[in-house]
Amino acid sequence: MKSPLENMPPLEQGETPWTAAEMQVREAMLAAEVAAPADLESKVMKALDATSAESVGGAAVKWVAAALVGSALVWAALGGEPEAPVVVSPQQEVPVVVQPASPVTALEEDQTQAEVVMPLSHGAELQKEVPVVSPESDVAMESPARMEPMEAMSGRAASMLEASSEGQLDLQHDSAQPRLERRPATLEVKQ
Amino acid sequence: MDQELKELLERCKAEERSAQAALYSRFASKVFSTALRYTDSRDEAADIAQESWVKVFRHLAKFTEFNSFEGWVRRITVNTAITHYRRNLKHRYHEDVTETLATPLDLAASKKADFTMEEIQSAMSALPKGYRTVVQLYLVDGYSHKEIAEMLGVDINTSKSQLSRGRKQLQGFLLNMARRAQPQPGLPHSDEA
Repeated sequence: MKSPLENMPPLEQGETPWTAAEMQVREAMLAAEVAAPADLESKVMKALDATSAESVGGAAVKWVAAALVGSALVWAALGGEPEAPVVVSPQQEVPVVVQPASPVTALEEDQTQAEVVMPLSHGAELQKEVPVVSPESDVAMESPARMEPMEAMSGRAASMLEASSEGQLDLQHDSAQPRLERRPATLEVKQ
Repeated sequence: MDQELKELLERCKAEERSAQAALYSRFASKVFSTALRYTDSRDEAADIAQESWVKVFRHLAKFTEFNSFEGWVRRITVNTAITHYRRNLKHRYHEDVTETLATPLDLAASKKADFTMEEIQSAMSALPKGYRTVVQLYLVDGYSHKEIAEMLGVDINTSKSQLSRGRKQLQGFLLNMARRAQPQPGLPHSDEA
């Protein structure tokens, strides 16, 4: 037969053993059932409805927020203008990769006799000659010693750059500019 | 767990309103009586029960059928009641109450160990609230001193001393009831009058 003490909570050392009265108290308390107020059920159901509505509302807010964030990311990825213009201080040193001029050699080796307009793949040539940006470039961004001062850089005046963008600038050929050459060619047709 | 309850719980997990009502009806009096054990007011017990039921339905997915559903619901109710108790704490752990009224030997000597429900509830209600809470948690609901200390935000030794004092007081109240129930020598018994 199972001892009633087995159902009792374990006592720690030094505590007085459970009495028969305490066992009865425990059994009676656990078995007790008191009728709940009549209106409690409707209150519980109303509270459940309210929490359901809250959770649905919360989910809707989350969806709207996610949609807004998503659209903002898409807009940014597609090249959206930043809200505030980036102002660079004149004193600020900006790291610049100086690119050597690329020689034009492709037409000199043309073996064909046909008079063909040969566009130079200037972009491709440049691509080959541009030094690969090394991992050090990230470090260079943080190292003022490796930066070239803005004043030391030579290039076209800003007015010329603006003019070229409007198509008013006289193009000057130099070795770095891509060129198109026309050469006479003889076309032999074999029968 | 019986098959009927299992199916009822599955329907409740699907938020079927009729199943929720059926589950409520089945355990409503248990939940309310548990809530009532931790408070003196029926209104507050109703609040505790309502809050507990919402938690039961909201967290039903966490319940595993390997556990006793009644035990799971009771723990939720007790935790909710303790939250209310701590929120409304006005008198914390009376130290100035009348101390030991009886020893276990006194009670063992008493022939009467079959108290009525009213007597037990009366004895429990007579305990100071701090003692009663610890006695309920340890003796009735089976929490350890460590758990009680965490729930009430007190030291483990406080829980132990509260239990010890609460038990002595409870036994004293019960002994007094047992003595009153026994016919006094020299006095005519009520049947003889």
